[in-house]
Amino acid sequence: MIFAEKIKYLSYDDLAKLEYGRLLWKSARGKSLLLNHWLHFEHPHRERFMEFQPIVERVLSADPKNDEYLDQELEKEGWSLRTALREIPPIIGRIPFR
Amino acid sequence: MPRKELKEPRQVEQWLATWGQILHAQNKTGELILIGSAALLWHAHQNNITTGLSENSMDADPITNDECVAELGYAAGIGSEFEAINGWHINLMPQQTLSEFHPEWKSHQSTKQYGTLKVRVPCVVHLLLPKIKRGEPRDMRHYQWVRNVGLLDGVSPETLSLLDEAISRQSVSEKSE
Repeated sequence: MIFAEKIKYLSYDDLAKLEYGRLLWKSARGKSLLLNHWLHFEHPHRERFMEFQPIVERVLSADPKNDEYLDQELEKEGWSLRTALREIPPIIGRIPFR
Repeated sequence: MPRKELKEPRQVEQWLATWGQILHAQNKTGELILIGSAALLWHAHQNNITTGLSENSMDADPITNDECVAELGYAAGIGSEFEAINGWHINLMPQQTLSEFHPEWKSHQSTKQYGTLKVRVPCVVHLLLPKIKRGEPRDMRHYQWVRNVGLLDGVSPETLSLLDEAISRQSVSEKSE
């Protein structure tokens, strides 16, 4: 499936996680806020995030203009952009985001 | 279960004013585009309409490219203190959402400054078009609410015809199902 077709199947929730994750990841403060949140002892996905943290960081650090290339590279490793971004944990409201 | 208490036009105005004050206090500037039922409520408030939505909403849907606004949005999601206080939450939407809008929505948008927060809102008709296209009962009830409170008064016949066409397409699509 060509990349443009694959992207069409991403839900708005998935797209929002990717977009806003990347937006915040650009700054030291934003990155710190996200990591503190996802590594918080009460975050239900903490353990899973720790397991897949390198791939999450790779996706968040990537330039969106290169997403097609990233998707191809990830496929060589048994992933895809779609499956990798699913490992970006959600933001849990009851854990303060600050 | 998310709470569903976004109903009154003033609630959206109060929220935006608060965010504007917060950003101003932080010495930051930001911008967001507001869509969905919260945007319809925004228009209602700008037109001094106080009638609440016919069906409450559980969230407001802003879109932003600014980290400071995204940070506020992430702190106001489901289960947050923001939701506990306000009875509804913020749901950050991706830029892709705007591809559902009329290509000329920017030419007809409204803007308003709240402190150092600039808010852009598509016009009522452009907000309604994706809702009518979805055709879900809640979206159609919001369309009826817009008509009932007079938010389409004064809209040009040419612009209104966009709604008529959308309704007509929606009816055809319903019948074919």
